This record gives sequence, C-alpha cells and structure tokens, in this order.
Amino acid sequence: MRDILREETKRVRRMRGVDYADARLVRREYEGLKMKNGRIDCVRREEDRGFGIRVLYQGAWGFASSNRMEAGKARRVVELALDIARASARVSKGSVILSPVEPVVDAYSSRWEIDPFRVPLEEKLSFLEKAFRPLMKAPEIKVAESNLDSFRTEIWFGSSDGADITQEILESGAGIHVVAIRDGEPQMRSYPNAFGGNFATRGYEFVLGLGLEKEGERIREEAIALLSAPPCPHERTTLIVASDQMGLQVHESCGHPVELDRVLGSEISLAGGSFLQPTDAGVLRYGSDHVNIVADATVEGGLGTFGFDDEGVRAKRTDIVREGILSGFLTSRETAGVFGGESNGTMRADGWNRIPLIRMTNINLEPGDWPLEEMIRETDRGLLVSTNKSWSIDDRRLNFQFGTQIAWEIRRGKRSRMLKNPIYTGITPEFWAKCDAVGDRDSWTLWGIPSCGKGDPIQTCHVGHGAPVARFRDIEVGVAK
Amino acid sequence: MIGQDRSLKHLKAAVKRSNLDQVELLMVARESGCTRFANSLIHQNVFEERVTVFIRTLDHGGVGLTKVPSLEEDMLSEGIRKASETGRRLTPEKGFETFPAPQPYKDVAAFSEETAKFRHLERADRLKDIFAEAATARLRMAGAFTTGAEEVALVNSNGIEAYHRSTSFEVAFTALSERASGFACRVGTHIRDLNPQVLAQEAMGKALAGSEPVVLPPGKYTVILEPKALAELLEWTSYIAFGARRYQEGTSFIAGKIGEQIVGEQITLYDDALEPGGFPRPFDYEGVPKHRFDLIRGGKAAGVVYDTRYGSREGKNSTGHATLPSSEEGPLPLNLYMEPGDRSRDEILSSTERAILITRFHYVNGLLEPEVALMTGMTRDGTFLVEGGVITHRVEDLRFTDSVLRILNHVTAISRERESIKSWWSEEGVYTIPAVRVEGMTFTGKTG
Repeated sequence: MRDILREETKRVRRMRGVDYADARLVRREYEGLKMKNGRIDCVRREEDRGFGIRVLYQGAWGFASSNRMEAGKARRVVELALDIARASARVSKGSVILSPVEPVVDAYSSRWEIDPFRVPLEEKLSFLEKAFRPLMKAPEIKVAESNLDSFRTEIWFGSSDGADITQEILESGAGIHVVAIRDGEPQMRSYPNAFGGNFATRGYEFVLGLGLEKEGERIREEAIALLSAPPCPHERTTLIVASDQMGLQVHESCGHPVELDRVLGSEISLAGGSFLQPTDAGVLRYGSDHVNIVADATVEGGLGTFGFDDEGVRAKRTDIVREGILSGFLTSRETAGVFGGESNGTMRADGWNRIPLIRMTNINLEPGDWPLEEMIRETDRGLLVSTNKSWSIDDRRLNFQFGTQIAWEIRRGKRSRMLKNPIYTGITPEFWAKCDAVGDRDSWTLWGIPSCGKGDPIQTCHVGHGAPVARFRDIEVGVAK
Repeated sequence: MIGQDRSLKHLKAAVKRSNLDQVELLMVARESGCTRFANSLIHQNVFEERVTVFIRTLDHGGVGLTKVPSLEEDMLSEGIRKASETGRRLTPEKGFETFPAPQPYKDVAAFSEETAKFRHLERADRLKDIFAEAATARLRMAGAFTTGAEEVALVNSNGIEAYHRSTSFEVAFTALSERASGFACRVGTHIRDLNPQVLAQEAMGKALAGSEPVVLPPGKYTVILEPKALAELLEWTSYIAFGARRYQEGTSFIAGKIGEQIVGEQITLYDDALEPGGFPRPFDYEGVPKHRFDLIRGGKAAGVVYDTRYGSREGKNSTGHATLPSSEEGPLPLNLYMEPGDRSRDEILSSTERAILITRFHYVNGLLEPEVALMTGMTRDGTFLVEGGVITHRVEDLRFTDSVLRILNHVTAISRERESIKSWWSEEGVYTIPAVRVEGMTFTGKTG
C-alpha cells in the first residue's frame, strides 16, 4: 500500500491545478487493562489501520480516508480527495499557501527498554493487582482502580515534494485512583496524576518506575480524610500550585492559546479562539519575569515527543514565553505561511482518518530555583493545591476556573490542615503576572496527558507538559455559592 | 455502504467458525464528510469511510474484548481468537454469563438516499451562498457542516441478527462581527429538514442583536436558557448521574434517591431512541430493543439506564442503553428528551421583566461536586440582557458556578418548542430540549 500511495501522491500532483499532496498510512495498536474494585474490569485489545490523503488544489484543501485496503481503493480515495479539494476551491480558492519545508527521507523510533506488548498478560495483571492491593482497605472506599495502557503507532508519511518518513512511537502509562464516599459525598485521589496517571513515549520500564504500589495507602487515607475536611473558603490568597496541577494550568492557559490556528480563527466555532493576536509575539507580557515556557517535541520520553510531525517537519524546540514575554506560537506549514515564516512542526493527526491539526507537543514551564519546602516556608498565608478534578476556561482562553482534588492551608510558613473541594479562578495574563516563584528541578515532572481534544470531527491527541511547582499572589479561591 | 446482506453474512460466518458458546460481533460502518469553515472560507473538507468490528466473548471466563478494522475473514477470526484467549484468563463475572437473546425491534426509519448523497459539492454550494449573505451584513461565518451515513450490524451466538442504517446531518454556524458573535445549530437524519440559509440567518441575527454590551457583576440573575445552553448542562447531568456505572459507584446524585423529589415537579427527563427528534435507532450496541425510559418524572428520580452487564450486577434487565463496547463509561442515555412546556419562547421572553438570555455555554465542567451536580462554565455567542420583555443589550460573557439540581428546582417557565442538540463528545448523542426561564442562577466571574 505504501508504494501505491507514494505513486498516487506524485500522480495527483502532476494534475492541473494541484499544488501539493501528501499521504499517511497509519497502524495503531492499543491495550488497556483496568482492575476495579478487586477484579479485572477491562482488558481491551484494539487494532486500527487505514490511510488518508490530503490534496491542495488551487490553494484549497481536500482530504479523504479509508480503512478498506482492497485493490484500487487508494486510487479512488485520491480521486475523492481531489474532488473534495475542487469543491473547497469553488468557495475558497487560493486561501492556502504552504511555507516551504525540505523534504526528508528518514526513519524515527521512540526509545524503550521493554516492549509492553511483549510482556505476558499475567505479568501485567499481577502488576495491576499489586498496585490495587492497598486501595480498598477501608469501608469508605467505594471505587478503587489501577490501570495500565500501552499504545503503538506506526506512521508512514509521503508527500508530493518527495518526503518519505517512517515512524514508530511506543507509549506506556499507568495510574491508581480511589473514591471515598460518606453520606452521599464523594472525594477522590489519584496517583501519579488524574486522567489515568502518567504517560510517556517509553516502554514498560516507565510503568514499573512509577511506584504505584508505594502510593496506594497514602491516596486512600487522603481521600478518606477529605470526607472530614472543611471546604475551601472563598477568599483572595497566595496560591501554590503543585506540579501535577501546574501541568494542566500550562495546558489550558498557555498551550491552547498559542495554537496559531486558534489565533487565526479556525477553531472559533467549536473549541474557541485565543485572546492573542499574531502581532503579540515579542511584545505581549504573558506573565512575570519568572515565567519561561517552551514547546519541545524533542525532550526524551515526553508524550508529545516525535521525530517528525504529520506534515514531515522535523521535531523542534521553540520558545513560547521567555522571561514573561510571548515569544512564539505553535505553527503549521499553512499558518506559518501566512506570515512568511516556517512551520515549527506541531501538526498531528489522530489516526489515518483525521487531518493533521496544530497540536501541543510538550509545552513545558521551565524550572526556577525554588525548592518546594522553601516556597512554603516563605509563604505566610496561602493554599497549596494538587491534582486536577475539574477544568473550565472560556472560548478565548482568558477566564479559567480549576478544581483540584486536594488542598492544604499554609499558615506562617507551614503546611497545615487539609481542605476539600478547592477551586481557584483567574484571567490568564493577570494570573501569570502574579507568579513570583517557580520551583526547582526537583519539583519538575514531565506529565503525559493522552486525552487532549480538539477539532471537528473530534481528535484526541497525546501531549506532554513539564511543570514544576509555582506560586501566585492574590488569587481568588473557593466560590461564592 | 456495505449493506445488510453482506455485513450479516460476514458476521454470521465468523460466529459460526468460532465454535464459541458466547460470542458477539458488532460492526459499525460509517461514511461521513465534514466541511469546516472560518473567516467565511472553507479551511477543512474531509471524508472518511470506516469499518470497525467490536468483538466480545464470554468463554468460560470474563469478557474478552477486541476491535478490528475489517470484515475480512482472517481479521475477524484472529480478533475472536484474541478476545477469547484474553477472556478465558479473567475471572467470570457473576450474573453476566450470556449475551442478550433475540427480541423484536420496532421499525425505525432513519435513512434517506438524498442525505447519503449530499456530499462535499452540495455542502460547498450551500456555504457559498451563506458566506455571500454574511458579507453583505459585514459578518464572517465559522462552523461545520457534516453529513453522513452509518450502518450497524450485530450478530451474536444467541441468535441475534440485527441491522440498522441511518443518515445524519449536523450543522453549526457562528456569525462574527468585530465585537459580537451569534450561534445556531441543527441536527437530524434527513437533509430535507434542514434549511441552512435560515439557520445561518438565526446565527447572524444573534450577532447583530442588542446594543452596546454591558458588564454585569457576578451575582444571582434570572436567566432564560435557550435549548443549546440547557442541553450542555443536561449532557453533563446525564454523564454524572443517569448511567448505571455512576449509580452503582455511588457518585450519582440519584444514588439512594429513586422515587424522591430531586427537582421541580414540572421537570420530566426521559430517553427515547424511537422518537424522531435525535438519531433514532431500534436497538442498542448489544442488540437490546430501544424504548422510552424515564429518568426524572415530575421532578422525582425515576431510574438510571443499564446494559446487560451492569444490569446483571443488580439483578436487573438491560434498559437498552449499551454504548460501544470500547467505552469505559458503561450505559448512558444518549437520546435525552425534556418534556416541553405550554408557552412559546417568545411569550416567555416578552413576559420577563429582567433576565440574562443565554444562547450557549462554553467548556462546562460537571465534576466539581457531582453529588449536587455543581457545575461551572462560560457564556458565549449570544448573551443578552432582557428588560421589559425585550432584548436590550449584549452582555459581556459571564462564568456561572451553580448546581443543576438547584437550577432545575427554580424553573419558572418551559417553552413548548424544543431543539435537538448534538452531543459534543459522543458521535450518537442528541439532546432534545426546550428553553427555560430560571430564577436566581449564580454567576461567579466575568471576563470583561
């Protein structure tokens, strides 16, 4: 099929009016294992494969895809993609100009030590059982789960420009989660993070290194303690955001707003736009001088790490915010072309049947020099919040409100009592401007989130966020009911 | 399209070849195209054809589950082998020892040739006219126009042989001026029920309505929630409360409250995949017949929905709400209806002294405190101040944080018109909802 698609992209490129064509052949394998309330709840083994073709005709896009691999199908799908592009051109001729990219012939593979798909099922189920064991040892715990997920993606990409790239990306992740309930009120805790734990472009060795079996007792007891904890008060205070929640804070209030397709309005009807303008780069103050954010698709093991994006652009590291000033955007060949620049390689598709969109890679808040304990010691009064529970942000990525699973009061430089149902809210650049301390490398963790949604039809992307703990002054917490 | 005969023939042959006592094959085949646009330009125009077969086994063990991308004999056999091999290593689930048995289905007409043939050219032509009309009003259009056809075929070793085909359209328009935006959307099974021009004009009207925006401080306000806004709240409500999984886990606000008054007595919510308002279908994803099921009746909690597996845990029958086998959410009501009221939307508006009219919400999240359905979200694309029964000003967007149970306890008017709103996260979910007026909804933040 690869040879056929290679020839088809070149053939269609030779047709009158065709500016460009590319094809992707994708095969994905997934295994999801979950232990819940003492029994194996789910063993999912899924396989998917198919191909998709983009054609740019007179500056307008068409895309067609199929997972029917019979003879002659590739030719028909190419013809359909061209026909769709012609339909687009009836309305939007000349609206797309691609920035140049050197066509690459190369292969890339993520690195792993142990292939999770080769680990015997019994061994993985035993791992889940061991991680699960401490979770339910209390009557208040009504839901207890351990999960282990493995993904393998093989992508071949070929373009009419001559790019010919093969990639194999292996991803692994795992986590534990409990819900304690008393008098109808649930309280939850997760480890190492919400959203199924932590994930990386690494093998089973990553899962083994998460230490799930050591943390079960702690999250169980914290969930139970939350049932008796007082609620988070409504006030303005100093907020210390733990690394796990900081990852989501970066995701929602930095990662999404700097997607240049959003900035240019492409997502306005569904996921929304951005408060940023293209001309803000190099000018707009995004946060305090302590804030440094990069988009880095090259960091070892990140869930947003790859060799090439789905337009054949080599993975890059790009400054997004440098000493508080907006430095750049996440771009594609099309959006970079609007400003005469070059793509920084962030176009990724959720499988063979979706077109690539600008997606976060690893959007990382760089560490500062504050040890966590010193940050707490130098906080007279405040709140330390950890592990996401709820998330909401407006359609311009300005007004956000996040809930976390747990919080602790800080009084006179010490972590004191636990609070339940913590919520904090803010306006993106005002919030980041109040950042007066960023945690050191010891507090920095590279989080993998396998569930970022964008696009229509919806696409789920795997992204990464390196984040340390960070402190923000004068933040509204709690909610006025 | 694959067709009834061909799809069932492949599935039946695979079941027979397997020689397993309990095996189920579910084929979902889709052909769909989506034209997306922004700044009155088509920026995305896509088509996909996809065949997926979900395989479940109950072979002297737990549930084995695989998914393969083809009806090919080799792939189905290998998928069954893998599912069975996995399932046999799992502990059997007490009470869940068999897949459903055959039952009669109601006739559901949800397919139209005209819709199946309505593709990229037709979509582009309709949009071209709309973009031109918007330009004369100094507006830009954004949104998506999707049309497609779907086949679902299911065969199991108990004798179920089920097939259903359907078509669908889904359209969303956002009209934007320099300072305001308006939104309108429609969903249905037959393209003849869609007038894209009228729908686009509705979005344009919203973008142009109201004079200069006012900034309202956080506080409690009377609101008129249009169907799209209320649907977003009810979709989250459904997700956190109306499925057997959340109910059995104890996090649903209905847990332990079946039969109790939980919201105002004028509120009745039910699921009905046989009504033509959403995406009707005769059976669920394990072949159990669809029928109306009440979730809240007269304000009292009436029940939650089950599939065979979750039903077996309580000794109950499936209510016909199995979702795709790959879903970890378990059964959910995805054809949700709210009983209409007896007043027109216009009457509700004209009889309202002062309120905020809300077209839609953005990024609602219902996980804050699920035991009281506490949610938060932002208004967008058409938020207006109503004074003396008419729209006067646009309102800068506001953040609400409130309990949906409290909101549904303070409804003072329900419209007789309902709109069908597509779920944002589920491919098949549709919510058919009236507009309501609510006293004292809590807003906790603003952007302006």
